[in-house]
Formats: sequence, C-alpha cells, structure tokens
Amino acid sequence: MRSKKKELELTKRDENIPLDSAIYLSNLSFGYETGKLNVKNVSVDIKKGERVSIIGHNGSGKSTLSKLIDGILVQNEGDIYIFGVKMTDENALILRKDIGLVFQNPDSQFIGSTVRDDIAFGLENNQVPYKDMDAIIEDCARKVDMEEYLKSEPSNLSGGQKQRVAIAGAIARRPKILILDEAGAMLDPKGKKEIRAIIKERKQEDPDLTILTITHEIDDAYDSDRVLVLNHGEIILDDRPEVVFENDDLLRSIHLDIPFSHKLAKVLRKNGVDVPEVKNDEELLEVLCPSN
Amino acid sequence: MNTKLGKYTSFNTLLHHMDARVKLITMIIFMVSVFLDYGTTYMNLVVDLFLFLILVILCIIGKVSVGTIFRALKAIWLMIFIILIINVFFPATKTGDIAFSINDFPVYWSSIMNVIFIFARLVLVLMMTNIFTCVTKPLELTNALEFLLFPLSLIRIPIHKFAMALSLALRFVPTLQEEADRIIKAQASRGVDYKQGKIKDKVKSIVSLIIPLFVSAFTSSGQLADAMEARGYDPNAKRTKYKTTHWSIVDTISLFLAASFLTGAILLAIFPYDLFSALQITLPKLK
Amino acid sequence: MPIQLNQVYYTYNLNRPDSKRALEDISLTFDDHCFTALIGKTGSGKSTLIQHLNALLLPDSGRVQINEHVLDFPVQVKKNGKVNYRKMKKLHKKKLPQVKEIRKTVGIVFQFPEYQIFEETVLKDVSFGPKNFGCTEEEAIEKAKKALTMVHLDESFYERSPFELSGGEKRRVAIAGILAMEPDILVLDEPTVGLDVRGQREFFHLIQDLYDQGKSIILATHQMDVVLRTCSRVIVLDQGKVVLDSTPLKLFQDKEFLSSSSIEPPIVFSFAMSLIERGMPIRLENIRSTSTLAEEIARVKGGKQ
Repeated sequence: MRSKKKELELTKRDENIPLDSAIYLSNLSFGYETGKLNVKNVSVDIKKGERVSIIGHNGSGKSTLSKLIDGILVQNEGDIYIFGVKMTDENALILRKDIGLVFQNPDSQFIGSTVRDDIAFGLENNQVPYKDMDAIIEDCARKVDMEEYLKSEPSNLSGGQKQRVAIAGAIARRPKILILDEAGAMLDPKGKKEIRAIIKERKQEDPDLTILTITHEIDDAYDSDRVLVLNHGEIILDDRPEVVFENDDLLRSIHLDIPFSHKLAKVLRKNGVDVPEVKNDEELLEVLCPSN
Repeated sequence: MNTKLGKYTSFNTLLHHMDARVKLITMIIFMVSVFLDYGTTYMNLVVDLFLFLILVILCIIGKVSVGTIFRALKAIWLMIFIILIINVFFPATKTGDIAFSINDFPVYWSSIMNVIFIFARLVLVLMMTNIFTCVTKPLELTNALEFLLFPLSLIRIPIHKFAMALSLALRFVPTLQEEADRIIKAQASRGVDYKQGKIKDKVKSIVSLIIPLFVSAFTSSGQLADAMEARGYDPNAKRTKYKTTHWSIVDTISLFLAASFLTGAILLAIFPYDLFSALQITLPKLK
Repeated sequence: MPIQLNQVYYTYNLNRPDSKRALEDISLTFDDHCFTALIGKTGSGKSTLIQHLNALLLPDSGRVQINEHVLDFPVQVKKNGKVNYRKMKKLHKKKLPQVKEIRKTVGIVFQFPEYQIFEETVLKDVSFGPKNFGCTEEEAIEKAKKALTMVHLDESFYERSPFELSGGEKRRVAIAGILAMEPDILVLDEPTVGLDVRGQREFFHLIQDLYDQGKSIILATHQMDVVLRTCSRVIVLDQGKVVLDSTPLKLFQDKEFLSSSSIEPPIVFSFAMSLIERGMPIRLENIRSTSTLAEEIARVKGGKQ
C-alpha cells in the first residue's frame, strides 16, 4: 500500500492549470491502430460543477474520449489533468476515485450477482470499511429508486433498472465527476427519461458535481450548460446548447439531429413561408400563430 | 415445488443466513464421512442412512426441494442400471450368500449391496452439493473458497484473482444462457433446424450458434473489464470485503456439531463397530 | 389474410411456481401488404407476440394461422375440461412439418440482429438462410446479392469479413440475411436500438422501400415519429393484452388513452395540435412528418404549393 505521503506527491496540482478546472485536456490524441486517430488533438477545459454534453455520430470518438479521461485507455499524445493533477501511469488509479463512469450496455456492467453486491463492488475497491458499506449501498439505491430491489439478480431486472444500478454503483464511490457514456442508448423512452431525471436530481442535490454526458440525443444536450460536438475525433463546436444548435447545416452535414423547431423552420422556408430564426418550439408557435 | 437443481433461491432460512465458510466446511466433512470405510458394507449403509436423515432435515430447514434431487437422478438411472448389470454378471467376489438365481446363474447379495451402496453415495453427494448451492449465494461461495484456500496465497498463488474470475463466471452464466437463447431463435428464423438434419447440417447449425456466442462473450468481457476498471478495480491492490452474512451463534454451534460429527466418523472408521452382530441380527453374508 | 391469431394465450414456465403470463386472449389479423406498428412498454408482450408469428413459440391455447398453415392445440390437450400439460409439452416438442414453410414466409429481424452473423464473408453469411431453405449454392448467392443490393451494400462488401464492418453496416448485413430468404412478411423488433441518427434514418428509408416493393411490415418500436410517418395501423399491447388497435392518427389524438398508457405523441404531431388549438386550419390527417407539416402550414399561409 502506498503511504499517504507518496499519494500526496502523486496528486500534486500543476500550477498552470486553472483552479476551477475539473477536466483539462491539452492536445489529446489517441488511435487504436497506428496511423488512424480516433481522438485528434482535443483541447478542452471543463470547469468544476459544469454539465457538459458531448455529441457526435457513432464512431466520432466520443466513447474513446470518456475512456481516456478515466484512464482506461492511455493517450498517444497530449495530457489529461483531473482537478489540475496530471494523469500518469502511477496516479491513474488514485485520480479515478474522483470519476464515476457509466457505460451503455446494462448487462455487461453489472458486476455483482445481486444489486447489493454490485453497488458494493466499487466500495470494496475503494477499501471502504465493511461496517460503513450497508449504509452507503442503501443510500445510493434510494437515490436511483432501486431500494426495493437490493436482493434482485440482474436477470430479473429490466435494462433501465440495471442502468440505474450502474449509476448507483458509480455514485457510491462519491465521485466529483460523473461521466455517462450513452447510458440511455439501449433503453426504451421510459428508461431514458428515468436516467435523465436521476441525473437532474443528482445535480440539484450536489451542485459541485461535474457531469459529462456522451450522447446523440438532443434532449440530453439541451439539459447541459455546454455542448461539445465531436466529428472524426475533433471538437468542431464548443458552446452553450442554444448556440451550438444554431449551426443547423453543419450538424446535419455530420449526421446529427437538430432541434425540431430549427428543422421545421428550415423546411417552411423551403416551402416559401417566411419565418425568422427561432430558438425553440414555443417561439416558432408564436411566430406561426400568435396567441391572443 | 419445482426449482432448478443447484440454483440459489433466496429464502429467509437459518441455512441461508449461515456463514458460507461454515457451510463449505460442513459439506467437506460430510463428503469425507461418506467416503470413509466403516468396516462392513452394512455399517457403511447405516452411516449413509444416518447422513441421509441429517440431509433431509437440512433440506426441510433450508426449504430445499428433495423432489428436485430425485428428479435429477432420472438422468443417471441408466448408469445405475449398467452398474447393476456389471455387478450382477461380473461379481467382485464369488463368495457369500446367493440372493437368487436366474436360470442357474447365481446373483450374490454382495452384488446387490454394492449397487445399493454406490447408489446411496451418489444420492448423498448430489444432495449435499445441491443443498449447499441452493442456500449459498455464488458470491459467498467464492468468498468461502477464497478463505479456505488462503494458505495457497502464502506461496504466492493469487487466490483472490481466481476467486474474482470464478465469481464473474458464475455471474455471467444466466446472461450467456439468455444470449444463447436469443441466437438460437435468430438462427431458427433463418431456417436452422437444431433437432433434425444430416450430420453436416448439424455441425453447421452448431457453428452458427457457437461463433456468435463467442463474439458476444468476448464483447461483453471487454466491456465488463472496462466497467470494473472504471469502478476502481485493481487486481493487485488491497480490497475490503463486503460480507452479507455475519458470524452468529448458529455458526459456532454448527461448526462444533460438524467437528464432532467428523470426530465420530473418524473414530468409527478406525475402531469399526458392527452394530448388527452386536444386536445379533443375521444378515446375508457378503464375503 | 396471411396471419391470423385467434384467442392466443401464452405463459412462460407454464405450470411452475415462477410462471409468467405473457399473452392473454390475443386475436389479431394482419392483412396482405400491411404496415403495422406494435407498441407497448418493455415487458408488455411484444417480443412474445412476435415469436408466435413464425412458430418460434407455440400458443398454449388458441390458434395461429399463417397463410394456410394452422398452429393450434386446444382440443387435443384438454382432458375433462382441464389442460393436460404433459401432452401439451409433448406436442410442443414434436416437430411440426409446416414450421420451415412458415419461417420462410415470415422473416423476423430481432433486436441487435448483428449477433446472428457467423460466416467469414458477408456474402456467405447472407446466403446462409436461403441455403437452409433448400436453395442450391448458386441460387442462394443470387438471392444474397439481391438482398445486399436492397440494403445498399455493394459488391465491394461481398468478400469482406462481416466482423470488420461498422455497427450500422453489420446490422444491414443481418437484415439482408433475412431478406435473402424472400419472406412476404417482415417482422422487426426494435431494429434501430443502438444506431445513431444517421443509421436510424437510413434504416427507416430501407423499411419504407421494402414496403413499397410489396412486403408486409410489422414493426415493434418505441419511436412514435416513425409510427406516425410510416405505419397505417398501430396496435398497443399492455400486460399481454391488446389495449388498442387503431391508426396512428386516432391514437395520437386520444389524449385520455395516451396519458393512461404513457405514450407520448411525436413532436410533429403535438406541434400540429398546438397550431390547431390556436386556430390554424391545418388538416391533421395530412401530417406525417416535418415536411408534410411544413407543406400544410404553407398551404394555409399561402406559400408556394
């Protein structure tokens, strides 16, 4: 076991990184095969407590980026700073304690044989003493509305329930950063909604929590403070959601969805109806048919 | 009740709450006592009967279905029958009393007793393992194994890694079953017939199941590894342990009882005591 | 009427303590050249129903008719008014001669169909189905090529390993594997889960094409915009029962039913409804997608037609 002193040494902040930075990526590049980069020269500074979405089509490098941030993959070039601490081979495991990561597939991230065991898995890794575990497990299960299923086995749970357990497993380790890597992609609309609601609630209860949502759904993106658009491993847009979604043509050209009001306004113009730029559905409704 | 053989069912019984290590040790003790020799075949059968009664009581306490065990025996009737045939026609000893004759061919009591004896052992072993796995969660089982194999880690064998691998394998058995079921259905929709057809077609249909199953298992295992890493798993680091059972007075008593049982069994094996001759009951001679 | 279900009941693990009723009194008819949506929450019985459509599951009681093939059991297995489960089990295990014919008529594309891929080349994998149904090697290859063209995979894919392809391409190979069997009826179970926006869009174009080519489509989905755009009929399942059998237009206007079944109408539709509420005289029955909505608004507002 590492001594406290050694651990402090390994988690020394870099003075050049802004104090309010949670995830700081500088010129990050990664490729699974040589000669082909899945993440290209990405530089971004995600602030503490920020809610950021990364959108992009399948194969744009979104998931790769999340694995790099968690230190599961190791970059070819560039640096990753978690709360100002540069990630190295030695400290990746320590830095990872601050990050909770939820993946897409409900089945293959259920590690324990029951809900209780699954939430406990992360606690065991964090060397939480046994006597504290039950309280944490029950608390986290309550937060994802699964306290009635603590004894259930994965084969008796729906996809949405398993994903909620995965979130409980992630937050049980009390991370300061929560990354959701298409956590709702394999769920039905109800499941997706539940996940969205849970994340909203987490954020309300803990405003300092930094949340990174990797998605291809507009609804998720609109929930965030900031949207990064990834295409072929590069960040091509980085702004507030309203601003990002103004780039209709660009988004469509890289096969991303655009908000309904933008889509309709566009087709209307094509049909000879003159409509100004609108921000959301309500505005378009007002333009088309003013209420008295 | 119609439960699956050996499948853990969540009940709220004394046996379910017992420490898995005690249960494992007790099972090993029973196992040993089944295979000890208590002098004569008759005495062995007496001990087996005694053990059988204990196991039936345990079944009742742990709400384990005895019927399931005997239904499972259906699969081995053929084996028992073959053993019977072999024992009858090629008896181990041609001494002792003859039970009856088939067309002048003598059938010895020893042959019949041998078959009963083998059958009894089989039933007992099946019962023990079934009770054990029905009342012990797979994860507790691996934890118990890890504990008992602890001495091996002193000679630098990474027991905890094996235990983790084992518990993950147990966890993914039902998932793989579901997956196989899905693939079978998908291939059946493409005209695969798993029941009939020529050998060549059969091989092809098995291949059409096995390859997708492997592909999916490899994908899941990669994803699982990522998920474990993301939650901070480091195979070389120290981990605390989440136990779902607590050591209770029941565990202490059970361990004591199991130990006394073992002592008794060993004593009986070393100093054989023939109950039947002591009670002056005459039984057919086997030798 | 190619498919007819009559009072179909199905229970998983029948006669066991963990039994679970999945279908209850289902009576449905699917006509020739239909485009039907099957909607309902996870666990509502959609997948179970789908598996009855090509004899992967057989009804506990009731009757399934697929073209001229009838699958039913009720009379034989009843003894003194009680169901004789042993006899039923035996019947279920018995090989039904018409099954192959049925599976050729009704092709099912399951969720994540790429898991059925197993051959070393795309062409081989797609021709696997036709070969199982008695085609010669040449015929099967011919059908496979035709099916691959339908899913927009050109010759350059024929000799590639399906395992190297992207997620969307793999899925298209899997669908071609079903199309190569030339089924009249295509049943799809949540075919776009896990695909991105582009993959989904391409996919629904493909299904529309297949429908236009004369296939019947039965589509289980959660995507209401797709239901509105493509389907002419919608069946809602809840707890193994048919709770609604109607058209998308009627379903999405039925506010009471929508709120009780937690189905949300597509944005296009609710937007059009809001316009109508505010007094814009657009015709709801003309609206199926963003572009048709725009056309309607243009008609009312006097833009170019």
